[in-house]
Amino acid sequence: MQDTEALSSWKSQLRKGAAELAVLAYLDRGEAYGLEILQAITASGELGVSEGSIYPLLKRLEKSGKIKARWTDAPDGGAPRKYYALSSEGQDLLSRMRDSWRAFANALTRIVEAKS
Amino acid sequence: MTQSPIDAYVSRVERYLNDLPAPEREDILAELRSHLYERSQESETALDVSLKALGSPEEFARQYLDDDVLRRALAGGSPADLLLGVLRQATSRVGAFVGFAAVSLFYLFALSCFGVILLDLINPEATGLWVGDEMDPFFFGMIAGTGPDETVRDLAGIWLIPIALAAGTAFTVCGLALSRWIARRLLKSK
Repeated sequence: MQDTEALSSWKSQLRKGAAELAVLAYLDRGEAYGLEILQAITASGELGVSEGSIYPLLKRLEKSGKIKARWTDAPDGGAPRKYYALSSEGQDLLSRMRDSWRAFANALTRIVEAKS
Repeated sequence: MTQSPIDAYVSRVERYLNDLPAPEREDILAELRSHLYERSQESETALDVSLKALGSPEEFARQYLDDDVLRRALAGGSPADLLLGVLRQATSRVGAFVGFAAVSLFYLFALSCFGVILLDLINPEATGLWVGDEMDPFFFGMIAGTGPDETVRDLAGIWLIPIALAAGTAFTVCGLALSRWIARRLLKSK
């Protein structure tokens, strides 16, 4: 029982930083709106982004200037959509985050997957 | 007239977002409405699932508020704004709770220092930094009742007001610095 608790608290620590990187990396492919980002990220599971947390996260990134947003008219009679794209500051941050992520993942994989 | 589930949810979120500037609030609500609308187009159950996944309107709204209150307080709010911003998160985060208690303690010490100054102005004879009383060997403030007797002596003398002022100011500055530091930590750890 305690092991499950330890595992889930470790997992939530692990996910904390992942959500931001996942959103920025997804937006690197091009403009997208909230639901699209949510579905793309949650489809791969495990990344700690939920329906309830994605919009506050996007707002934080927007406020800190990492991403920029624009509203578009409703596609064929639906509701208007808010599209997000990386700002140049966000682009910058993303490339540095990518580097650290790769270094981190490589180092950790070497240790975790090593067979003695 | 009955409200649609979307309108009901959005209007409850709106109530909780009252403290935000109007343009930002409208932006958040429009995006939420758009999200729920698209979910409802998928299927009837998709909307229900979505409403559950978002959490209660209060929980959802609080994610915007906690940060915003802190951010605005850091960007030029009063010490009270900062303290309240930290308090807002104290129910959900241990660090915020401990921080709130510590900052409150600093302010409480500051308040008692300034209180002593006031007492010294009202009743200078009985107010001082007393030592010597067996019951209470060290005491900062005013001795109630008949006033001081031979068993105690005042360490501070005429320096009482400057000392209290300096200590009070120091406690205030420390409390303020601590609350700013905590607010920054809380924002960063998100």
